[in-house]
Parts: sequence; structure tokens; C-alpha cells
Amino acid sequence: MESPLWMRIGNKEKTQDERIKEAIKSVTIFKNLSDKELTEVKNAVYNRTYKKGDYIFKQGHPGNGMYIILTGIIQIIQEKSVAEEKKEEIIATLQGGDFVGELSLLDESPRSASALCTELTEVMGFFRGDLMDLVNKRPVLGSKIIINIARVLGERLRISNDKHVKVQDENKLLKEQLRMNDDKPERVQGEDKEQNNEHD
Amino acid sequence: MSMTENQRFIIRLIIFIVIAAGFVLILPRLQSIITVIVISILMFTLLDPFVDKLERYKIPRALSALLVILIILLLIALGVSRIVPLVENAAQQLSQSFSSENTFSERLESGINYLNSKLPFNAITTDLPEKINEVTNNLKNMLPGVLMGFGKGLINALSAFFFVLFITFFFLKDERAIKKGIIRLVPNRHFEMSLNIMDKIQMQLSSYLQGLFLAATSVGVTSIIGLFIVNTFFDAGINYIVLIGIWAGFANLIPYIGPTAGAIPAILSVLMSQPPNTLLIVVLVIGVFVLVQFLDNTFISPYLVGKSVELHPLIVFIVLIIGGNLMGLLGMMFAVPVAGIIKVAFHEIVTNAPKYRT
Repeated sequence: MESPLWMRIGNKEKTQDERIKEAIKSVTIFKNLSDKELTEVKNAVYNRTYKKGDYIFKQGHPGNGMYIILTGIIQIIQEKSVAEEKKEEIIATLQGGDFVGELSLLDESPRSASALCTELTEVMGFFRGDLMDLVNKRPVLGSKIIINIARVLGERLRISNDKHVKVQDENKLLKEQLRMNDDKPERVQGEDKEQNNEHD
Repeated sequence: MSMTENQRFIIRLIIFIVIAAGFVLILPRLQSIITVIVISILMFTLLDPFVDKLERYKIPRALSALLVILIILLLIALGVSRIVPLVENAAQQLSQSFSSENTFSERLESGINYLNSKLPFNAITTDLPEKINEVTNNLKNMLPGVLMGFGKGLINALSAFFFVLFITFFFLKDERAIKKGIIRLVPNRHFEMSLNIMDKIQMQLSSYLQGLFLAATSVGVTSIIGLFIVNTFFDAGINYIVLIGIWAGFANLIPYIGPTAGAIPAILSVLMSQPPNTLLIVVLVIGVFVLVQFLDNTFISPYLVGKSVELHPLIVFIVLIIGGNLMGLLGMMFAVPVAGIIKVAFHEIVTNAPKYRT
């Protein structure tokens, strides 16, 4: 007969494993992965626990990978220089199930913001080296993840394009309005001059 | 009560001194195990890409590692079964030369005399055969002791070799778990930086060691081809070309000394077999090794090993002395790859760590 202690430990490990897999599954770039592939990703991730006030990563540091939040809350803080003064702005607050930094899986460009833990936070890190390792050893799984990243990038590019077009349209409208406003006083002045000539 | 910065610094300094002193005291006792671990790390770095390739074909990691280790064992067994009779034969011939009325020294002496007569000056000292005679007589007296020592050394080397294979297998099989275990020890604030640097070091090392291995293989193969051509077209009578080629490949791992050390057995072989045109053959053999070195230094090594790991000649000289002192010839062969590893690691840390400063 199995000891209740071992059963409890076994169950606890199973729940922890399931919880990690569920968290991985919820991330866009790990969609459409089979259970076996999810286990592969689970074996590749690093579990870390951060205390309140700890930074997971800092703005300007080279990006090395992404983090999936299991428990806790993270603030994404961007430091901006406004009139030679540095100002910090909270641009997002993330919690369990959310993820951040997925584009750092592709290149080492500096982080655009910092991630600060506002309470005890448990995260999973998945890094470029491990993605490349998966691409090398499990090409099918690796390409699935890369295609998913490409989809995320495509989606963001589309949104960015839409915004760009919208801003361009607004810009055109504004320019036209400005031109019309500039034309108006001239016409008014011109009309005044004509009226004066008539009086003369 | 909180500690001041100074107190903290003093405590850290004391801890560092205690650890460093302990390390210095323990190091000589751990020399053999450290050597085994270093060679295992080199083997792991060299073999890891092959295990990765097998894993691609959905073979489980443990089985892939086992397969690669078995293939290595098989190759070594095959090599040994081929090389041992050659060495045995060479040793037999050499011992016959020693025992049959100084034929060896006589032949060597006549070879040297021939060379000196062809050259405008006495290039090689004529009392060399006498000195060799003296050494051989001494060797004869020392033989029982040397054989005992050799037997002990062989047993030690064999057990160390199996330890190396055993440790390499676990490094290959549990690569990810070992990496995770090391990273778990790193504090959160240095976590991402350590992981990034570790990945880069591993990548650089893998290509560096594979490059070194391929360059050594190419030196071995080109030496064999060159000597074979000289043998075929000039009837040079060079024996054990394959053995000389393998030696030249291994010796190539030792910079500066290696190329010369690689050529010596071939020249000795020519001097002993005394073909009709000895001087020409010796010049041709030297030419083969010069050409092999030219090809290696100009085309092969820069392409395979890369310039990033180039070590300053002074550093090479120092590490060769250290390697030679620690492990003899084997130490000299491993000295440069180990120094290369340290340089790559240091370079990656120095290049990447400042990017993580706030």
C-alpha cells in the first residue's frame, strides 16, 4: 500500500506540473502545442521567485527572453526623460497568467521597460538559448513556437500599421484645416482691400 | 544592529581569503579529479552537438548520450587495435636495433655523417649517437623500473579514461538539469545576465573546440597524404606514416613546439631507413610539414578556430609550462584549449556584464 505521505507529495508535484503546463498553454506563443511538446517546454523553463520590490529585469538591459507570471503582481515601468528630468511611468500591471518580453526571444535589443514585483511573485522564464536549443533538437516544436511568435509580430505590425494610417489621415485632415485657416484671413484681408479700393 | 559598509567589506575579505587559502591547500590533493573533470568538460563540449543531432531523430537524450559514448569507445578500440600492432612493431624494431651491436646508433651516425657531408657546415653534432648510446644504456638499466611505472601509469590512465567517459556521459545526459542546478544558485538580480553569459560561453566553446579538433584532424590527414606522396614518388622508405600523421595531429595542439615535434619522428624514420637520396628526402619531409603548417595557419585554423580565441604568444608559453608541470605531455596538449576556454569565458563576461549595469 502506498504511504499517504508519498501520495500527497506525488499529488502536489502533479498539481505543480499541471499548473505550470496550464500557464504555458495560456501564452499565445505556446498555442497549438501537444501535451508532449508542452512537457518539453516545461522542462526548458526556469522557475524563479521574486520578493516584493525586486526587479525581474531593468530597462536598457539586453533582452534575453520572456517571463510568464504564475502568481503575484508585476508593474511594467518605463523611464522617460521629460525636459531633462527622468520620470517613471507605470505602463502596465500584470498578474498570474500574463506574460512579458516574448519578443526578446528573437533578438538581444535592450528592454524597453523595467518589470518590478509589487508582491511575492513566482514566474517562469523562457529564454532565447533554450528556444534555439528546442529548434535544434525538436525542429517541429521549435518551428511551431517561432511561427506563433511571427503571428504575434504580424498582429502587432497590423495594429501598428492601422494606427500609422489613422495618424497619417488625421495629419492630412489637420494640414488641410490649417491651410484653410491660413487661407481665410488672406481672403478676408483681400476682400477688405477690394472694398477700400471701391471706396477710393 | 546593522553592519557598516566597512564591516561588511572586511567580513567578505576574510571569507574570500579563507576560501582562497582552502582552495590553494586542497588543490594539489584534488589535482587528479580536477584533471578528470576538465577533460570530461572538454569531451562534453565536443560531443554535445552529436547528442543533439541524435535527439533530433527523436532518440531519447539518455540513449543518444549512451550511443555517442559507445561509438567513441568503439572508435578508440578500433584505433588502439590498429595502432598497437604498429607501435609494437616499431618498438620491436627499435629494441632489435638497440640490442644488435649498436646498429641503431651506427645507422643514425652514418645518416648524420651523410647529412653533414652534404651540408657546408656540421649541422648536427657528431657525438649525438654516443649520447644516444649512453641514454640507451641507462634506459636498459632502468627498464624494469620504467616498465613497472609504465604498467602503473597505464592502469591509472585507463581508470581515469573510464572515469572521464562516465562523467562525460552524465554531463551529456543531464546537461539541462546541470545547467538548471547551477543557475538555481545564482541570485535573482544576476539571473538573466548569468544565463545569457552561460549560453554564449557554451556556444563559443563548442565551436572553438570543434574547430581545434577539426584542425588537428586536418593536420594529421594532410601530413599522412604529404608523407605518402614523398614515399611513393621518391622511394623514401618512411615507415609508420599513419602513426606519424596521428602524432602530428595531436602535437599540433601544442603551439610552436607541436609542428616541430610532429616532424621529428618522420625525419628520424628517414635517417634510420637511409634511402639513397637521404638529404633530399629529409628536405622534402621538412617541406611537407612546412606546407601542412602553412595550410593550417593560413586556411584551416583561421576558418575553423577563429581569430577571437587567439592567445598572446607569452600566454601560450606560460600555459604550456603550467600544463607541462601539472600533467606532462598531456598537460601541454590540453593547456591551450583550457586557456582558450578561460579566455572565451572571460571575454564573454567582460563584454556582456557591463550591459547589465544600471
